[in-house]
Amino acid sequence: MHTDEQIITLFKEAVKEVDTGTKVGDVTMATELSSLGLDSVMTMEVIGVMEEKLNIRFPDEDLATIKRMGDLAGLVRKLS
Amino acid sequence: MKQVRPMAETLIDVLLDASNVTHKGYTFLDDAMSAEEWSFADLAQEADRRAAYFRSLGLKQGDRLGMIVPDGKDFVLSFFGAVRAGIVPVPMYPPLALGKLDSYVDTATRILSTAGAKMLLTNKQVSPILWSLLSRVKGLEDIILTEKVANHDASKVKQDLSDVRITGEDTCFLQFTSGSTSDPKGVLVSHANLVANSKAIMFDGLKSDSETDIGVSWLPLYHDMGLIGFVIAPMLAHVPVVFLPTLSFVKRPTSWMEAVNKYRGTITFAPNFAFGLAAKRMSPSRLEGMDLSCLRVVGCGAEPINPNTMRNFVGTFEGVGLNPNAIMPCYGMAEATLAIAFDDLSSPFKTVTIDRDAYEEQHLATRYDGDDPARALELVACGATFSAHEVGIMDDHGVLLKNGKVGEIVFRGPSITSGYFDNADASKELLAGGWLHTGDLGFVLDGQLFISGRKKDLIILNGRNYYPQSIEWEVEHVEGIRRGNVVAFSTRGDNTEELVIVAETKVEEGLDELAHQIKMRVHDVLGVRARDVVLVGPGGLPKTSSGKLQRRRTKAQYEAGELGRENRTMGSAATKVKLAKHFTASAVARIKHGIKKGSAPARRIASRVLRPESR
Repeated sequence: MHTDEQIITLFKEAVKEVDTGTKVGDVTMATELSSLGLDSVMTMEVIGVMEEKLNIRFPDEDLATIKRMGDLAGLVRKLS
Repeated sequence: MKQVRPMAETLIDVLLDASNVTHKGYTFLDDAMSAEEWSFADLAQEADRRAAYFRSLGLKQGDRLGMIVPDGKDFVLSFFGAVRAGIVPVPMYPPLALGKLDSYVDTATRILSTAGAKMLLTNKQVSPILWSLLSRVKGLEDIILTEKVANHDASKVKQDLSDVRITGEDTCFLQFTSGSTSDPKGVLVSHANLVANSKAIMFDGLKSDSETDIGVSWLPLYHDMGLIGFVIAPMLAHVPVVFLPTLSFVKRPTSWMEAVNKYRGTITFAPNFAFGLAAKRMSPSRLEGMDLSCLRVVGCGAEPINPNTMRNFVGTFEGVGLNPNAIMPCYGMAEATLAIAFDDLSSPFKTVTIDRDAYEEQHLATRYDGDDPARALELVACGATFSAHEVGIMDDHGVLLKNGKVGEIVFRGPSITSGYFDNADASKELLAGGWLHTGDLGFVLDGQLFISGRKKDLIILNGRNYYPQSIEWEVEHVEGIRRGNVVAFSTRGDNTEELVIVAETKVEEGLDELAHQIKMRVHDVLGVRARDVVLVGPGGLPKTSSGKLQRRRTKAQYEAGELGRENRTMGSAATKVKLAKHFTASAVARIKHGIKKGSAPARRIASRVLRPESR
């Protein structure tokens, strides 16, 4: 089971891997992913990196429901 | 070398012709990269079955069918099914993951309304968000699920397809150009256009061999490059293709070349940004054991081509056998069906470095070999057009220009559209004088076509089109920004085009926060990311003597480092001097033209209302 902190750390690592130039500031479970300044392609790349690190696959239809960090964390827990 | 040269006049002929080909066809991969194979014969047979089902639902020849179908296999089978029945499909992009559903549904409403769609085809997963379209789109009668189309009981559907009468002049499908605009236009793509352009692509451009070639594509199928380039043209030439889901590529950009390697692909295409992604994420361990010597054509098109991105891509994959000659820059657009010009395959891609000053001021493409990087503009050659087609460069008065002069790229031949669906005014403008007016600026040098910009400053980010105005208007809503004093443009980033916003403000404190607010607003409303926001003082933006903003000049100043990056307002002493000069110049200009302060923005707004964007 992953804690909130672990998932946030993983997310930040994934952002760094996708684009070293993007700085993600404070993130909590309430943070909307769209507020982090990632464009749609980068967001999907970040999702892809997280899938590989966690060895899971987010179903396409579930991705559309992710708005906040908490939604992403919930999905990670459901799938891993 | 073997080429199938069908006598087809329509896509239905192409389907019938392919119905004997049982030993090869299309392979559809899922996100886990497991494969499902369909021979051309099976595809043609399933098209017949789906055609009959569509007809049983009351869809008739010429009716428009909206298609929001994310799955590649279902898209291809349903598309061919509709075409086989003489129904006109309208491919539409599916809701993006984590997308903004409200604006998505708005855009879908406008496209379906413009197309006069009778029904909408989608799948079970997407349909819940689309039901509202039934009440919003006048004339839309029903939403059909692909699951029902795929699993229907054929024994209960009695439909004879022999009365479907289609000629080359008939519309095969409507291609709505990508990007969000309030006024979408559906390009009429006729059967004759498709056959002409498919032959040009497969035989003139790619010199395809139906025995040895294998296409690999992750391109979205609702877009012309994926649909025509990899679904329609290869079927005409009997060239097999392996499709991987677009989302799989975006999530794992390495999957593209991995699929090429695994399936021994010989032909693949993508827009510039994908070359950047693919190279960036390719680690030495992933390259191990890879052999890309199979690749004969790596086409790059659909957005401005950055020579550094291409060089970097070649540098990344040359060690595993990629032939540098395979890189094939190309040029095209939906109004030309797809392809206008292809580079040849006998040499590595070519570029020319021209003098930016001569280009901007005299509209001339003259070679530059000086050492001022702000004056050097390197552009990628996109080759030449195909037989029976002609490319020209035209000035604003409709006069064709000589080699080396910069003007609008125009095109004619059997691939050009007859216009936009139900939009006579826009069609007339598009096809004035019998030429297709591309809206792109370019020139011809040594027989090579170069694309240098967009006449209307269209911004293309990750393959989608944005009008600068739509971005600028959003920025104007941010408190502290001077209305009518915002410029948005794209500039070459390391790999892709990147959005830059320059805005005037009177605010002197908290500029970082203001820049952040601008980025957020643009992201929230349009879903795009601004790489840089530059805030300048009042009068800091270049304007014409009559107070009109100068986008291209702003961009040139930005690229030359004269506007100051990283949210700086006024930095060095040199900048201050420049700004002071600018203040003086614009004050003088205003007095000269007798324009009262404040009237310029008002006129800009008026001109927007009076002259809405046409393309």
